[in-house]
Amino acid sequence: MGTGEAKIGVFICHCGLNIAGVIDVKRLREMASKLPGVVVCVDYPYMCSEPGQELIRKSVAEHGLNRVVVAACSPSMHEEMFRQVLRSAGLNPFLLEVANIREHCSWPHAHEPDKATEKALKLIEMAVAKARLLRPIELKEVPVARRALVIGGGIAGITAALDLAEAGVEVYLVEKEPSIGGHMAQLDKTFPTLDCSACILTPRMVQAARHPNIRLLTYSEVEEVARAGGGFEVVIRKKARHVCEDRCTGCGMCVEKCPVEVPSEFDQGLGPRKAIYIPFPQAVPKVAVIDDEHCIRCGLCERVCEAGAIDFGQEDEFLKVEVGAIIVATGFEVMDPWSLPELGFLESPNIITHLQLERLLSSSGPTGGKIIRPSDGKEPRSVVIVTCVGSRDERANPYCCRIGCSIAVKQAVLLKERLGPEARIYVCFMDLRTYGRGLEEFYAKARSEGITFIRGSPSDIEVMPDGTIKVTVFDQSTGKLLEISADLVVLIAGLRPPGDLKDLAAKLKIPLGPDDFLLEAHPKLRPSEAASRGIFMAGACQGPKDIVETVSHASAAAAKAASMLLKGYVLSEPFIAVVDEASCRGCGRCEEVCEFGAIEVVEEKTGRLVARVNEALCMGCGACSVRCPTGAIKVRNFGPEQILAQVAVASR
Amino acid sequence: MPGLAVFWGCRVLSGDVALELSVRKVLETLGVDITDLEPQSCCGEPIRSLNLTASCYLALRILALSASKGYNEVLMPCSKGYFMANWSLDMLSRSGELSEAISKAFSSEGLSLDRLSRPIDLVELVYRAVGPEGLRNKVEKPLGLRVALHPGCYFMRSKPGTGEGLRKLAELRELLSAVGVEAPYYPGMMDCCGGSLWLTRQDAALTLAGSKLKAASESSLDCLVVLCPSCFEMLDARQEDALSAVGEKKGVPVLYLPQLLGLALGIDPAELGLRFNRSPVEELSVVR
Amino acid sequence: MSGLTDLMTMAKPNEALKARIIALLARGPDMCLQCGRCTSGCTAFRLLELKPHEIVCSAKMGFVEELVSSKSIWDCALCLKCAERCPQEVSPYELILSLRNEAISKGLEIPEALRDILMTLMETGLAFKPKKAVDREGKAYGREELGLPALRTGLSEQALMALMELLGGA
Ligand code: SF4
Ligand code: SF4
Repeated sequence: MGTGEAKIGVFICHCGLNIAGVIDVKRLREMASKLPGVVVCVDYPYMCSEPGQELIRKSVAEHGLNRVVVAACSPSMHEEMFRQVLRSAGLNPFLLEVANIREHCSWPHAHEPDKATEKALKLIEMAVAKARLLRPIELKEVPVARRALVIGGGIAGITAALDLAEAGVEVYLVEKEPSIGGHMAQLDKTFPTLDCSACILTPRMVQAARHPNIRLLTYSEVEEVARAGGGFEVVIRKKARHVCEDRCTGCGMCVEKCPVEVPSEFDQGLGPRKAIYIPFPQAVPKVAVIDDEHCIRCGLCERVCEAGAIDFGQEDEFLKVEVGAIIVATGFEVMDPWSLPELGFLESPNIITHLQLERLLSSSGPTGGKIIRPSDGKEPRSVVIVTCVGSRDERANPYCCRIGCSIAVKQAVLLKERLGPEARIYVCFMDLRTYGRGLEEFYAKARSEGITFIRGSPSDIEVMPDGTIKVTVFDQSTGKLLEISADLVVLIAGLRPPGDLKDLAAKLKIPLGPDDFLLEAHPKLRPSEAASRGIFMAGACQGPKDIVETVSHASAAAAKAASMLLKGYVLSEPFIAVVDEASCRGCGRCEEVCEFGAIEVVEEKTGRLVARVNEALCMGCGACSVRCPTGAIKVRNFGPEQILAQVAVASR
Repeated sequence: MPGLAVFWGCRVLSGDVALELSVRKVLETLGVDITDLEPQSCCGEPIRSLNLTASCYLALRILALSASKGYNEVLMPCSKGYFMANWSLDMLSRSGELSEAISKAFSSEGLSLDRLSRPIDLVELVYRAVGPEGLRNKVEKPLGLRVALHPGCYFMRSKPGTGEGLRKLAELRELLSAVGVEAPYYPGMMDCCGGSLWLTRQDAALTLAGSKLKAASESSLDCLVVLCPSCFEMLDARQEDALSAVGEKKGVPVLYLPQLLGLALGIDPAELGLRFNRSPVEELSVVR
Repeated sequence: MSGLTDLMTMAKPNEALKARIIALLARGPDMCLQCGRCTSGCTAFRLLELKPHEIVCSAKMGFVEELVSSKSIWDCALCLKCAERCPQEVSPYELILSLRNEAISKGLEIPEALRDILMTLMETGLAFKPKKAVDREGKAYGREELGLPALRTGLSEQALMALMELLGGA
């Protein structure tokens, strides 16, 4: 069906005034109905609406159409939906061609309506020319494993893993640090409710570790990813902990005895840890790890460990798993503010980042929750918080970190609470964008508590010999140049994608946005999916988010992945290369150019060489087709004949 | 049950009889009884800059005095007095310190903050007593005017930020429309006349009044209508100076709201004190 | 020494004075969002360059001494636009009045007209002396001639005492 003499219907959408406000739709319809093969041409205000879709279905039946051209918005918007319309009208969904007369025509040429109408006609003519040559495509159901890989064990990864596990999907939760928990484990309290971060996170961590459907792989990294069948084959490196996870009871004897002290990453360098350590009291799994770089192999830990868990001989292990879906949840990094030229030369322990302040605020932090001036351990009487450090800054991060303003307000409130009403807390801001629910009210509460908000971004910061910091800021509200003497300065440093996100994206073959965070498939409609099938994203790896947004995003990613996995199969990709074996000479040029390793020239029993396409790997880019000297390999419905038919019309 | 007390205020008592005459006449015609509150004293408005507590004391004292004489409500035809009363009540509601100070000041006269009359203004009174319908029925001479209404800061913002001003404005327009007067929006309608600025910056105050008059003439409406004696002083009594402050010559007739109502009710212009208006009110045919 | 310094004048905040000045205010200057709406609509800004948001923000930071002695607080038209429109119900109007109160009590400034009003108030209980009404022809009328009742005016002895006390001998 769908073959034989082409009977084409052309459906022109007004898209309200988006198209009809520029293009003369009536004239377009008259001209298009005269095109060869076109048996019916209609226009409608909103072709994507239910009546618009019905119009297409009715016309297919009435006129016995076997090809459909929709002239409307970009195919990336509604092509899939129009395919379903064809299907429900009894046509093969791939006998559809979309002419983009909005993004490619009415929008960019809004000021030249006559020429836009001409161009729209051209676009429709091209679509009709191609439509005539479209072939039906039957998709195959490819089974997928009901298993998922979640990369990253912060609140995003934990949430996604738990949601999937609850839906009956087996999950590998991979975390590169020795414990799951991510940044949220480092926070003291969360805005705007001021509930304790650990109190809401820890139970989720434990739940993830205990869930029968979740296999926790901490201190592990994704090594290799390959598409296989409907899903992926993934190699995971489990780094050597030198502590046997099954035996370690987390008693901490080893940590006590270890003679080597280094700055704790978890405490942001504000306190020490040992060469053998458990990163924080609520760590999951609560298992020690030996930091190979600093361990001097004195063997004290081995001697005191009653469980006999220390194993200096342990080596990295490699695990090969098959999964149907991958959720990336690798979070963010706090940028190094000292890379900014106005700060980099300053030498003072009394200028800290907001993440360092979180550790000072935390009762499990290096000071037990006591706020100190790091240089002398005294309680600060005056604190300046500076927002937008490296954010909204073309020299560092052009984008907004989205959580900095709320962090500033929260930390100001907490500092006021801890340091008492006499302490002076100043927040210097560029704009104060506390945009979430309850956050404007939270900001008002902060103001009502006498925290001084100054509309100005400081430039000069000086460190005095006694450790005092002098911050100079121009206050736009009064026109005054103010100097603030502070004991502690907190920089709300911008957020960046994690350093290794680029590598991971390359392994997954998914693109990054201009900000180097992962790029979603559609900024509005598919915010938690990558453009390539089976890969999803959760949380700040797609761009800065607060906890609420991260959790919502992660649940969305899990729901998307689950709806795919629970079906048990995926449909094969329609637009992949196929080889006309009769004309293939087995020269192998296609194999050479294929970036995805999807083509292999094989020797048949007869000894004849012929190219074969691995359907799971082919991305339909068409590089092979261009290279093939005999025209034997073509991407379905994007072959030379279809393309050239369009070119012929375009160049007429 | 005694009737309604009326508090006139210093401006009226110091010679601005146009307001007093017209209010008395109009209320009499509408059958609303009022009783002069005695003794009349300062409402505190003029000494806000001097001492907030003292000015609130004077305002609240009027409400307490009137309550002590058994009046539930006190009519305050002067917008400033009316504002002062409302604002003092608001200050009182949010400051324990203030209520303590004032209670103490009240004690020697046996007055109490627990018993205060409610301040009402002329618009509320007329609206409630007869309403637009009742007023329409009493009209002898529908005016057929389109006026530049100057509601004034203290009428519009007697309870700042509450939306009360808009509600009052709507009621006022209903009353005006009942007597055949349209009061459309014109640019500058909500601008200040400079009345309070007169105390400290006279030149600037005259410029404000002049601009207001200019805005009214440019709106090609028939006359300017005011509610407050402070506005009347700036726009009518000082009209000549105000006009010259903005380089204008053409005079603008200025009427008090009750004068306008009175004309519609068929009251003789002489009884409405129109001879005390300095502005060229004779330009209006309804006055002649 | 921790805290703020205005580098142009080397002034320091005076928190005690600030506390006294804002004691009676509805929502103090601390709540200001620095939106500038008060100044955008300020009646006195166009004529006299009064910037209420600057006053609010200076007060918020405790720089109140300079405000008390400034000429600008006397530029306010007391039109209440800022009080009505401030999205945070800060009322720069009230703050300005409170600053004026402080200026007068310090003897820094008292406008001539206000001095007269105060004298009249103490004498008569009214801010303006009762006068005969004068018509446009210049003819003066007593209340009786106009058919208006004679009215008792003035403050009681006790009220005057109470007022004096509140004024603190200003
Ligand atoms: S009350 Fe004063 S500060 Fe406020 S808008 Fe009016 S003139 Fe400006
Ligand atoms: S309008 Fe209110 S919030 Fe805005 S600047 Fe003025 S005082 Fe501050």
